[in-house]
Amino acid sequence: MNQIWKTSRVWFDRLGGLFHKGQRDTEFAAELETHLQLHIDDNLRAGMTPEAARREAILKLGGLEQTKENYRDRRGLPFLETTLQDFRFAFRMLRKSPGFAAVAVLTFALGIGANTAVFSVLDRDLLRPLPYPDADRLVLLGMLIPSFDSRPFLFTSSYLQLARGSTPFESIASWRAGVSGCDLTEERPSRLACVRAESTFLATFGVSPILGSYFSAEEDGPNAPQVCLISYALWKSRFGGSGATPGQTLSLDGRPTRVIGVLPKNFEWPTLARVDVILPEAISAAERTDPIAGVVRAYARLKPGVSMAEARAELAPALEGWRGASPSMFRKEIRLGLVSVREDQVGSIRLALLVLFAASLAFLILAAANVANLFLARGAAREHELAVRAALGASRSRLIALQLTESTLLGTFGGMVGAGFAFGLLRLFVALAPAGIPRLAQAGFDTGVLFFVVGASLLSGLICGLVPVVTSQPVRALRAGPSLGPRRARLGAVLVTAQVAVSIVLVVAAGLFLDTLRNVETVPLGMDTSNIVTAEITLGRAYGQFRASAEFFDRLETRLRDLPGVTSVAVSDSLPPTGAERAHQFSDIRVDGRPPLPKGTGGLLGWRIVTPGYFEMLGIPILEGRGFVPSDQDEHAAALVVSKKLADRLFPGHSAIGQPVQLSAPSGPWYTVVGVADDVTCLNESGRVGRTDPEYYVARKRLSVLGTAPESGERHAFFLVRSPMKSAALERLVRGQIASLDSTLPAEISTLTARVNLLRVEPRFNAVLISLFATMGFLLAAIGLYGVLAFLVSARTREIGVRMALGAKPGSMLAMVVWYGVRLMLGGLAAGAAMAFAIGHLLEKLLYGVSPLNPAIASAAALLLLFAGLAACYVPARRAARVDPVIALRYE
Amino acid sequence: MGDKADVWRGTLALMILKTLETLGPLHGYGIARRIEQTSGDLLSLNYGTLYPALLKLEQEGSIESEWGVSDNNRKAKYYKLTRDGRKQLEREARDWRQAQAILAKFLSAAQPST
Repeated sequence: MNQIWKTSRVWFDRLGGLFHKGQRDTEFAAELETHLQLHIDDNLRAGMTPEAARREAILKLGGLEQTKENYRDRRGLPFLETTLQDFRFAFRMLRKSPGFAAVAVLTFALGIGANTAVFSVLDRDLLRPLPYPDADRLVLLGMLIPSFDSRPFLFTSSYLQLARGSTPFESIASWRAGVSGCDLTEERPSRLACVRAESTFLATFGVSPILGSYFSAEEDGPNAPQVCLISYALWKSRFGGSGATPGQTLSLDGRPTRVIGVLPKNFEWPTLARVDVILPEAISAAERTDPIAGVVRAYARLKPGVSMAEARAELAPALEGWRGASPSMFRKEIRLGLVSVREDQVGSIRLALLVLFAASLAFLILAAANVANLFLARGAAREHELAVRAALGASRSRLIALQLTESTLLGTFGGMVGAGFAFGLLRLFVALAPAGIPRLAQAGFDTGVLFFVVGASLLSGLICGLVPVVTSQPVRALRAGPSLGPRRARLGAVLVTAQVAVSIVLVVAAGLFLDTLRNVETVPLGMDTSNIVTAEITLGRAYGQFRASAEFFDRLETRLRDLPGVTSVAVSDSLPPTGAERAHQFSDIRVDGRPPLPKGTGGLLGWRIVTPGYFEMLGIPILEGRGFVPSDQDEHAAALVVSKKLADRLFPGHSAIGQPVQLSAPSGPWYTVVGVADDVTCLNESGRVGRTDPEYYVARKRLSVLGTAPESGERHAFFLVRSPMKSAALERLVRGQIASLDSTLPAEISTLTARVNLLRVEPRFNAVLISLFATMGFLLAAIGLYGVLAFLVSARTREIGVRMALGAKPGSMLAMVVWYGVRLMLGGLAAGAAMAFAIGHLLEKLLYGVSPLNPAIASAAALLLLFAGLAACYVPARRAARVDPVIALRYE
Repeated sequence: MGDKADVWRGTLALMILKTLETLGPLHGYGIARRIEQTSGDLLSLNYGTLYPALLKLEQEGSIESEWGVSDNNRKAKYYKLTRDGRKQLEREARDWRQAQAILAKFLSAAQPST
């Protein structure tokens, strides 16, 4: 202990020895001087001559400088001092060539910044541990029915059966799929995000409330008084973070609910949705027995040591049971869904992020190659200086250390500037990002990202610094002046070729993503989205089931219609290009005079409830018959409009108009087809054309007949308002009207165009970012090519002068340089094209309407690069052509 | 702990500490002279090696220094023992004697058997 204390004290002192060196040196010099004087005094007293006295004293000391050197070594930390000295020197060198330093730092900054920004997103999503203990054992499981839902789910009765039996899981829990809005009905009402989960939920995730407790199985019982857990944020805002919260009561949708616990601050709902309140799942008796009454998502924790493959095998028998209990139309496509929670969260976006990271890495390589080229040119210019240093006795390792220090310093500065650049880029990400990138809002700078920046900076600095070192030939340099050594020329050529290759891959990728974006944006939607403002409204439960909410919607419709400048208003319960929210099985429909279809066949059938203005508003053509008229909204009216797809399926070859159709056979009401509307396109969440089911439309009933027909308004509706006025003004007007009816009602108001574009965010995100990297990378490659050629010309000025003196034409000199540049590029283009073809298929899933092996895009990219390359060749080539032989030969 | 070089350097440190204990505050030259004299001029000390040793002792906190004026009116840096140094001296002197005693016994015991 004592020893450690002493050692650290010594090191501390020695570290201190690095400072105030001048003062300390003077002090020691004075001390030695006294020493010598005292010694000389003694010697003189002993009778020596003054010269002898001094000589003897110095001799006895063992040399003045030697002593000082030993003392200094003991005082400071020699290794650190050398390094510091190198740094100071490097700093001085860079200050002497600010242009070089600025270009190198900026280039590094671009490369490192881009990577840091992408990495900070990637890190959050793909690398950072989830906020649950042993999160790698947490899985989402269930049936996977791709045409129905992209994520696994279970029917409630199947789930209960599974949970009762033996499973490969230590713990299993379910929740009712979907976060729903619920209203805090108190003096300050607000809409909260509520979920219903099983009593085992938190325990399965290994999370405990910071206050109170989670609910027990009894509290999840049918007759128990309602309890809930609240999020940390709600606890802070509603209860002021008071410790006495558990036991207090909230009014949720008008129902008193006792708060029994508070969730931790870092708690994340496994789907990453915002959750304010967790309520008990409250599974009804019907859901327990009816095989398809309720739908849940099931999460589980694997037993320790059980692999996914083992769990999969163990669940195989259960899958058969689930299949048997499911509607027959799905049976064929049912598969077992078993994914880790992380996979479930990032699965769809992983590929996009990895591609983005690869693009940013490629960009960093381009940047580093440029800096390496700069170093190469500079190395040639400095070779003489370094050779002189070597001749004066600097060891090779010391010289290498010196150059590496310099490049590392540049890398570090680049990293610092790059961090700032990354910060800006991250904001761009957030602005562009699809909602599918989880946790993007949290992405930022923390230790992990910091390590990445430091690592990237040092590594790129070191690698670039090695370039001049491996190519330097000090002995040659002393003989000749600055020259293009063969090693250096070869390395420069290799670097440029590599740059061209990498940038063509980037440009091809950018082309593919831009084409994808264009294809996505030009998908014919089958409707006209211009000049329409939409308002999506979900009324709170306080409005009750029918009357109050329908009254509200009716009043709002009237008010919007009366707004000055509004030409038409329509109301619907769902809105393309999103598929219909209501659907039933195709086999439920029956045409008069035909036998019923076999149950569970024919896939799904969507339907929408719309007002008469709907078709005209969206510009959906009525191909045959008519759209709805106000009389279709009467109580006993039974008009039906079918989509073209449905008409073709039900009545192939003859007209659908006037045909009687029973919608929910065998007991449902009969309708008469009055019109056929053209199909509208359904887009999926990434903007691609999704599954388009046949659809039909029924007219929304008027208030006077409410409560008697299922088509009465429910709590959720879209209002469509068309007006020639500016959309921002119209949005404000609509918002004002809604607020005047109910000031606390949240409404999602935007233009229909913006709504549709939301679905195209992901392809736009990919296209914009990859194009950004490709453009910057391609510019860097052009600059790199320019640099190498310019260097080549200046190094060969003498040779060019000789050739011209011997009769070569300026034009042939120009051609020589351009040809050299083109040769470098052609090599790069060939290599790059091969690379692009080799890795193209990896992008396939992210593309739409374009093959990864698209020759048009590849050749366009090659031409683009070639032209840019020629432009980059031109300036140095012209300089070569203008070399004056007389001056060139007099040179040196 | 330590290797052979350390033993020698350690010995020099011990001599410095002892000198300072005996004579009180003293400058570098005085310490060197005293060590040489005490050894009966058997030990030829390279005076230069004294200063790194003094610096080390000072860094370890066994001695401290301050500028003063010598007998013949020269400005000199005086070193003096600290409390830690006194303790170190006691401990090291004891260790040294012990080692010496063991070695002496060993040598005297070993002799007859040869």
